[in-house]
Amino acid sequence: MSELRWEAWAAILAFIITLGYTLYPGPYLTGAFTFIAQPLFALTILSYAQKVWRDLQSRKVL
Amino acid sequence: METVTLVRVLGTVICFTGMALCWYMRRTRFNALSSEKEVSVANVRLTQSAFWKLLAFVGIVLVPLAAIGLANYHTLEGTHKVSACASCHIMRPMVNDMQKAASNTLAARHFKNHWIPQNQCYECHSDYGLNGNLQAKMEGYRHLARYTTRTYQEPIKIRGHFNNENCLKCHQGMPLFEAVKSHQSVRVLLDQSSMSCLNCHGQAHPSRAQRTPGSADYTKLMEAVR
Repeated sequence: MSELRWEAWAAILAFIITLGYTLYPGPYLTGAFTFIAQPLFALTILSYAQKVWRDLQSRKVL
Repeated sequence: METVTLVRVLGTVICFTGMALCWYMRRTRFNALSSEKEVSVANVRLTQSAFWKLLAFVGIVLVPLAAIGLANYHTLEGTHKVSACASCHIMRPMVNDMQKAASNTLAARHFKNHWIPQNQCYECHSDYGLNGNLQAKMEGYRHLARYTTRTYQEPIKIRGHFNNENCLKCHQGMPLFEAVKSHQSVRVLLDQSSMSCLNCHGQAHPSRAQRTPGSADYTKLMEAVR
């Protein structure tokens, strides 16, 4: 695993949307959380998992 | 402390923690970290490499999962409140009518007589929320998508069939309900939702004609009750 640059930025954006939604839960922020923040979090986690998997494979742990 | 306040405080803490961790993570080169230098956290000593990888796991996986869980709880439980429904302007004719003392729709009668003391929308449309089924939740997400992308037409209409179970869960078995002979004769039809309660008990909300923008009643229905 070299770095997690875009994952960190995507997660920061998703956290900002989630924070806005938590404090001001109107329909547009609910939509932004549901259709933007959640998929961003999912992509981030999947990408992280893929990098960890590759890292472990390269070190012959898996 | 109210649950909503607790969710807000917890949500703020989780989001700021996640943002701070990701901010430190964004330029970290994990390959360049030392496997010999040690970092002390409380009584635990970790190598610099292990420490940052652990921090990455927390910031990229654990904290986002906590944020997703909390925000979804906020979504599903928030839908219980009438104010949550009223936050979409297309629902205001229904909510305003319900809260008007002069209205005699079924929803208004339940409201002004305190037959349903709180969360009136949710009590009659209870398929939403944590206890509702998956189909109802998907329908809720469809509503959200249509509203936020403005791909809807006013007046809105309920899709599918209103489940009589939403009425019967309170009325069935009550002396007043059971004493009405016609309820006994149509019991099977009511149980199967093949006959609507509204056939005899009047309309639940203002009619589509009243809710059509530009109609004489529309402006009145959009005015909030003071």
